Amino acid sequence: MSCKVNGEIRSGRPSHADRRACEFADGPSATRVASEDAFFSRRAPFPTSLRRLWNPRHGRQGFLGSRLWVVALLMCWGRALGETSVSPDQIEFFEKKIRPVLSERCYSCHSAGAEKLKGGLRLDSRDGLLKGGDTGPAFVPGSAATSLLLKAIRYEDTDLKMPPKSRLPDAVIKDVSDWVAMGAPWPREAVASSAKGEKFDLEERRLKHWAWQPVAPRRLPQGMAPGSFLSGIDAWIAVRHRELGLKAAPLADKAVLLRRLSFDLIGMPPTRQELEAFQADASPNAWEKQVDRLLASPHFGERWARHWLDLARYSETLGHEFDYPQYNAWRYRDYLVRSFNQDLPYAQLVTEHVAGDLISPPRWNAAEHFNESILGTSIYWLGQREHSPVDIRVHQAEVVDNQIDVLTKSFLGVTVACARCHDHKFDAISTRDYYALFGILGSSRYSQASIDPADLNGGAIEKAAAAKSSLRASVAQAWVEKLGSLHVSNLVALAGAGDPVHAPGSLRPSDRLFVDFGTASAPGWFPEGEALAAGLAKPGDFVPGSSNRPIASLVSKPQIHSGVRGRRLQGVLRSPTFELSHPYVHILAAGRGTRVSLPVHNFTMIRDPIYGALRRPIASESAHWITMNVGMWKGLQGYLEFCDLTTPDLADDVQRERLSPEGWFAVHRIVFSNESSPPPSTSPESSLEPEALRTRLISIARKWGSRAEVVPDELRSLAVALDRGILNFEPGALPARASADLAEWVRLENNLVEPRRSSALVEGTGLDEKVFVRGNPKTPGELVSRRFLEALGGTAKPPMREGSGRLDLARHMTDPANPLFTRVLVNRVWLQLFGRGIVPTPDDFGVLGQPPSHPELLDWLADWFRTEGGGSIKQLLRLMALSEAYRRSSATHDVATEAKDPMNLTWHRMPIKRLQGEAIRDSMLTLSRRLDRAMYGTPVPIHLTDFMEGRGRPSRSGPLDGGGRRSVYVEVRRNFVSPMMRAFDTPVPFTTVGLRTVSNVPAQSLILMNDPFVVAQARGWAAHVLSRGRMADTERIAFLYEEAFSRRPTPEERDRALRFLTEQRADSGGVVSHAGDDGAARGAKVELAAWSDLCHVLFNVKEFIFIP
Amino acid sequence: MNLHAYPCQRRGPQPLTRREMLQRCANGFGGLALAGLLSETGNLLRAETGGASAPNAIGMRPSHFAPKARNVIFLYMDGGPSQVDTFDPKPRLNREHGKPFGLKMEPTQFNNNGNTFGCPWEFNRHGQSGLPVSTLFPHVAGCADDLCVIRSMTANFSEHTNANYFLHTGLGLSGRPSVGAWVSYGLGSQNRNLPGFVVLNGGLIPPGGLENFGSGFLPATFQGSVFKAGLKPVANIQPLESSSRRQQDKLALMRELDQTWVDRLGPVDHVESAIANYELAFRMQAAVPELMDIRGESPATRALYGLDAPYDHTRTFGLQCLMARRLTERGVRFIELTCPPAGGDRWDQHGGLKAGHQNNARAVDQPIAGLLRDLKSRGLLDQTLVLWAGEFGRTPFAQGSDGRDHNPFGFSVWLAGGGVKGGLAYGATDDYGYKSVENIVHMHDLHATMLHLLGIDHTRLTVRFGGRDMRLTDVHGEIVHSILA
Repeated sequence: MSCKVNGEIRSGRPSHADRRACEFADGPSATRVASEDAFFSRRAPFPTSLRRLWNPRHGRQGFLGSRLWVVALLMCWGRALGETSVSPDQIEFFEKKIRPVLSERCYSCHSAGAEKLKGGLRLDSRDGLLKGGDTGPAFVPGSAATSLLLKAIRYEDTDLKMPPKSRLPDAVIKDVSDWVAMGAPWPREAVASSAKGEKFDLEERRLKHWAWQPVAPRRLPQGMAPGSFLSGIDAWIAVRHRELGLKAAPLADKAVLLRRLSFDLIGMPPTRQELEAFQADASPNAWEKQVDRLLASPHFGERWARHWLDLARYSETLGHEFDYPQYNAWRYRDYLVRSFNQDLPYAQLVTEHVAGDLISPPRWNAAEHFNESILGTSIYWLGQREHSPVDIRVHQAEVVDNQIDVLTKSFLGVTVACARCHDHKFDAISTRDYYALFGILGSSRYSQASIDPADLNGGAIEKAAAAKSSLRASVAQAWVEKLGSLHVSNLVALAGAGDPVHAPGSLRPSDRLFVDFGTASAPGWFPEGEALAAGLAKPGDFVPGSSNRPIASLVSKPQIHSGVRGRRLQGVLRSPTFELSHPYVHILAAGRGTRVSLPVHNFTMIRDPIYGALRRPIASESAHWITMNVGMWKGLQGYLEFCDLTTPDLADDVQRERLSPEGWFAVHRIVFSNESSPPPSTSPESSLEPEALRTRLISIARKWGSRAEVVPDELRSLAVALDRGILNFEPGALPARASADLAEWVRLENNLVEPRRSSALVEGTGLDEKVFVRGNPKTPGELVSRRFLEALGGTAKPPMREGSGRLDLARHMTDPANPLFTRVLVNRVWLQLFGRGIVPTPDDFGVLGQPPSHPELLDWLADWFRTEGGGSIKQLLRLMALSEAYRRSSATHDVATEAKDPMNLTWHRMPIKRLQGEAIRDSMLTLSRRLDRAMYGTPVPIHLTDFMEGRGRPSRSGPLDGGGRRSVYVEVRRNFVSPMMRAFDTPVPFTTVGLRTVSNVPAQSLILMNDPFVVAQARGWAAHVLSRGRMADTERIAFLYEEAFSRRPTPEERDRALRFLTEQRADSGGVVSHAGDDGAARGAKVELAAWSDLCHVLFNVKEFIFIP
Repeated sequence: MNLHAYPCQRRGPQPLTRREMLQRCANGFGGLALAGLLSETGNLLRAETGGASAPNAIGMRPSHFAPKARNVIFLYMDGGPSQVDTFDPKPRLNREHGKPFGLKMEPTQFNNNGNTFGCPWEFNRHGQSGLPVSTLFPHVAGCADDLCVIRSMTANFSEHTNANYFLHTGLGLSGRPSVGAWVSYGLGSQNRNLPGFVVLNGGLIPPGGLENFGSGFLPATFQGSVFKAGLKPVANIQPLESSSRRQQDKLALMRELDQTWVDRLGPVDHVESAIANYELAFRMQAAVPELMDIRGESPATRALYGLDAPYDHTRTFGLQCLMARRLTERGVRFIELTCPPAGGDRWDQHGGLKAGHQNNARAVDQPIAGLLRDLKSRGLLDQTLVLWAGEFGRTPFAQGSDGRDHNPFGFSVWLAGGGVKGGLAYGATDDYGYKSVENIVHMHDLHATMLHLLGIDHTRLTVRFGGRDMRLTDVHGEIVHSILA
């Protein structure tokens, strides 16, 4: 069923509203007017005040309001029809049988007295029934049988069962049915005024909450001379101190500062040499030089990418039951590392996340020449995915919900996902906003997209085509000769051939032709990849075969073909979104080693047991019908995807399949049908006499060889001859020149390379989404245009019509006038340096978040960042790092100040920060000299302990020490997260987490005390310090202290460590020695054991993980 | 500016301020560490790190009202046992066995629905209450008067992973805290040497993985500690040093070095909490082996739990049940048991129902009865809430010829001890045992009721995350008062 809504054809499961609109088209004229008005008013909503007149409770929503207006008209109609004759008997029946039941079983949720009105439905008046709730009228006079009220009490629908706790007794259900059949007679009585409904006034909320207000232009506090501070940071921090009578802590010493900065910017400790150099640098800009040095370090991007990975809920597997892989996820991690290192302007970074696939031209990676921009869109697919959801639409709702959640929290700091089921409880965000974004994401699709230039193989393809072209004449000549000598019996066999490509026959009554590439162009399709870049395959071109039979056939009719442009080229063809209107989809296709699938509501992880029918291999080189039985999903939306890629899709098990680059598919025709069998071909056409056929074939072969125009029917005869093996292609029988051409062609085609790929979001058919009433996709409400949030001006701009609308969305989001965009970013950066955000809830700037402690500072930074700072995160970090606030000591310095601001909410000193798990691990690797500084690439497999169990556990464990690679390069498997990272609060990857918990659990101590990784790094560090030649123990101890803590030990610490070494040596004297050890070897062992113990203790000292 | 503008977002005492800490700890570092250990109520990290709080898991926190139960033992029947074959007799199924199913069938996981499938076991009435229990559970049947069977459970998901997350966290996706995490967050632990939420793993990790026992957005403190069967049940619990003295020497050095640093720095709450954390870790090194050492249990007790049973999976689960009792005695708040790998694929009998359910029941029946009897004889059952539940039930119609598919629309769970009525069958499914129709108990209601029994108001146990005050029961949940003793 497809409904005409607002002038555009929208296929898909019709909503209640649509259904009504369609029904009304045949109904009474009064209702037709009403429905047209409803659609009219969606385009031009009433002013708020007017809408309230219509419905005080729901007046906020233009379309919903007008839907209710339809209902209001219906009510008048219903009243006119239904209230004419209410007899005393009927009233008595109501009072005796019905009202008590309503009162007892319904009113606690559905009356004026309800503590909280559920579903917007009131059952304490007849008007309430007629008006109904969120899912529509409880009953419509004259059609009692279809009444929602009866449906609900009969428990007919799993999702609508009332009363929820227990079904009413059958006798009562019958009473209610009878009563409804009477027209629901109700005595005239006063109606109690409205139940406590929550008002939602978006504009009022927008005006009242600080975060929606424009960013104020930069200014300094009154009375502060512009030159007296380095930047607004210190001015606004100082003014708060002055107001409260606080004394700011003195600046920290150089060693503390360098250690702090080094961890903050690159996540690793400074070396002794770096510290020495800084100590020795007496120049006035010594600190600035350190800041710039660290910002320029390649390790900077690794550290800061990890913060972003927390926002992106980054994982390299899909979680759920079997924890399937998310192919090429690591490219997104590398993208972030490079982006931060290159200091990609923030607006560009966000634009690439939102719509990197649509940026033209994209940003090309200078060194390796691939498309960087599209990599940003990987973020959408890093969430968890189910392999076999029972309800595909609910599953889509979950996936998109998570995408909206991540998108809006990460870049806007608002919780739009809270508006999935109802208007946001606190913020100026409506369900319409939510489904406006849903439409944008629902109109976008998953792809393993090529990140190489579109003409990756361009030159090679041209050369191969030239070789192919000169080959053609030789082949034709060979065929002409062969045809001349062919035995007549072969020609007879050829004569009767009919085939579905050329003789399609006529469609049956229930057949609907979706596309025929042979006869008409097909707008709205989405070809992707070099294989399909030339459009339809040209008749006469070679269809590639295997290596000993390079030419399998000829293209005889226009078709989509992923092999003829180059047999190793790859491509994906996606159809427009369509409604699954018929139970069968018949696809006339050919190919090998490829597949066709039908993602329903963008569900691409198509696997058995439920979804196997939606995916078929294409494994026959002759055109053949492939039939999908899609009856189970009738009424839903989907698209067809023909896939010729060597990268597995989400339905593949990579271990099982190694997809060949030699695969190809050809698509001719697609028919939707009620018939389970494909449309029959017409019977074979009448044929020529064998000798006439011979003459004809020879003439066609000549024509083909000379590149003259050959019509499809003629080519077909040649193609059929090839198909039947009557003609064939024998490389050995070719003349020398042709053999050389052949060899050259094959060689050139073998040189074609596979593109690199990344999971990406790409465009699909642009379709608006309907509001899911109470978040339930089974109760669709009004259609919402694709647009940005209303509170940020989304309704003031024209709705998105072209494609998904993501590029527009990116423009809206990154608009400098969007106050959330820059505030959220500067707050995130501040949080990492200063331990707490100016807004302490970095992912929630809404009413339930916490307000900024220094609002003027927040705006000063935001304004600076969008203007002078040019959107540069490195410049922003530099500005912050150069401030006095950042350079203060963290030691307690003034009792009175501590007393007044014990929680240090004004940054009167620097908070002490605990290192994140990644930095702890990386520090240990640095000291043990095990660190491998290699950057980028596929992840190091996760080390599996005995405690990491469950389905989807990899068959092999990765190395204990992750090969020495930095933590950011260690594999993140959603169901097998590193226990060390988890214990130290690396977030579970399920949604955006901008503020990590800092917990304090025994598992942390147990890891630092007893984990073999930690013990091994301590030993490595000890071995290093012992390898540095002859040194006094005191010197060695000083060395360890400088490496671990960027300072020398105090005399007490030194002496205590010396005593410890003595004790440990004495202790291991008896333990380590073995028979046969010579003295020196035993001594070395004892020494290593003692120093390992000391190193291990230093890892466990709090100063190692708490950075002052 | 109000310096206390950041209210504690969870109920319970306000965190100690630095000043209070300084005053309390005027006697110096040692006293401070001690205070850290003893107070242990605190939300010690909030101030400096701005909201990402990490209340210490160890230590008691007051409940909202007087609790009936002190701890929970959750016998998690992974895979979904069949209600009509265990605690919800439906004679009509046997009468119509092999005939087309009489009700509309909802979509199923495998979409391979067969005919009505009768129960292969008999039901008998047991105890004074006459509660019907099938012959799958001869031992548990002997405890019928302690069981409160809810026959009208409903859940939202037909698929294991979603359903497991839903059962454990109240949401069908990963990322939320598990019930056990909520309970230990709400109440803290009564044992300073052990975590508050322990999962005794019988050998199967449910679909959805360890996230079923996760702490979600609660601090890692509250996540379930999975104890493996065997001598080393906890990760990194075994010191690697060659002697315990050697480790103690190291810890002694560590403490002194910590002290000199903190002396210079001035007292910092979360550094001191981290120091105290080592004390706990050190004690756990001793407490865990002591827990696992059952040499002191009498032969009668061992036999009661089936530790000498011929079936190895009975012995496995028996040991888990015994451990559960020992953990209860030690004050661990929430103990969850996962199943041993009996019967092929858990309770998930898509085919071969008879053999599969028989094996699963055989593994758990005697140990569960042993646990109930042992708790009772020690006076512990009154304060321990025992929950027996799978993530859903099974279809009353066949999958293929001899299996049952998943059924979240109506299934049975039971509770025992801890403030619930014994010998009760509450709620009902339809004549086929397919869908709940009477006194329907939704998963959120079960959670709300469990929290209620522990003295927690489920609407007030919240933590703010992502712009909402998150609850185990989301925006749902009603206490099932009729089953409360």
